Amino acid sequence: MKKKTVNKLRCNEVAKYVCENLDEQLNSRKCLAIKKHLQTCPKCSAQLNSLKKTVFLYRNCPAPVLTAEDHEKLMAGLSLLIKKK
Amino acid sequence: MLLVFDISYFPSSNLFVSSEYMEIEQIHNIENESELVHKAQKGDQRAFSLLVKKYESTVYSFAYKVCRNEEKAEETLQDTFVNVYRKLDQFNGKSKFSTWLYQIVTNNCLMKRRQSKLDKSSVSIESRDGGQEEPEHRSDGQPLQALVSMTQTPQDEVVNKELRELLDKAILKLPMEQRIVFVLRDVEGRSSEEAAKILKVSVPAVKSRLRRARVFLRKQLQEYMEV
Repeated sequence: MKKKTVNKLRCNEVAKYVCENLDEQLNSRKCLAIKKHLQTCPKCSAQLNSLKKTVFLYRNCPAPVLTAEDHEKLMAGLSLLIKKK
Repeated sequence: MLLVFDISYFPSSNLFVSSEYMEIEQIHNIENESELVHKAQKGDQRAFSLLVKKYESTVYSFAYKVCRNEEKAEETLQDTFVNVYRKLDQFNGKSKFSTWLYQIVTNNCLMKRRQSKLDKSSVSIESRDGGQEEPEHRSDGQPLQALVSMTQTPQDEVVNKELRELLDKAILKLPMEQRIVFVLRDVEGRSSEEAAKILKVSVPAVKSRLRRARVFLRKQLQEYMEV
């Protein structure tokens, strides 16, 4: 029972660390310990992968492009402001 | 040792139309940024126009990724450069110009949220932690399951549209402060330190907001991930 609690706490700690430092290039003893944990814990490993997928999807989600027309509209509005000043 | 969680960098899509690309390159070559800013501060309208041209797509893209709405992104773009013009003499050069610019954009995003009550459907992450999220389904009742594909069939397009809607829906549920951190860090690729400067909060506060945002979004997309 005690062992289970310890493992659970460890997974929570790993999850917190991974969520905060997902794309950080860290060099620490803790980082090495987390790496070892991830190699042996399928649950944490799966969570890490789903986190990576989430970020990947948002990073690659298409966004509208600003057109030349949008630029002209913006500059026209700013020109009026500059003239007023 | 590099951290094992390193994510491959996926550059954002090119936001400039091709005809403008050469001009942007020229801007970079002819004048460095601090010179441009200095000239614009002295009232050089050409320098100000070049700054607008250099950063308009960055501002628009960021605003869109935060607001998930083209109209709001356009309004934020206008408001941001109006503010830049008005406050340019307050920029003291101690930070990067882009950091100062992001401060203005994020403030405008926050103001727009307040004005339009965009976040009325926002929920507390803490209250949802541990709770079961409603699984997302397609209009025909089937769970979403297709990844964005290079060789799309009409069915893929429908699913991808639904995926985009799911991504929009999920991120719009995030409180604006967490949403901005998520976009700055994970979508735009800014460092925690820069995000902290932009938002005028501590690095641990950035990391905390980012962690909550990531966990929340992952939970929102959980069923999609499992398939």
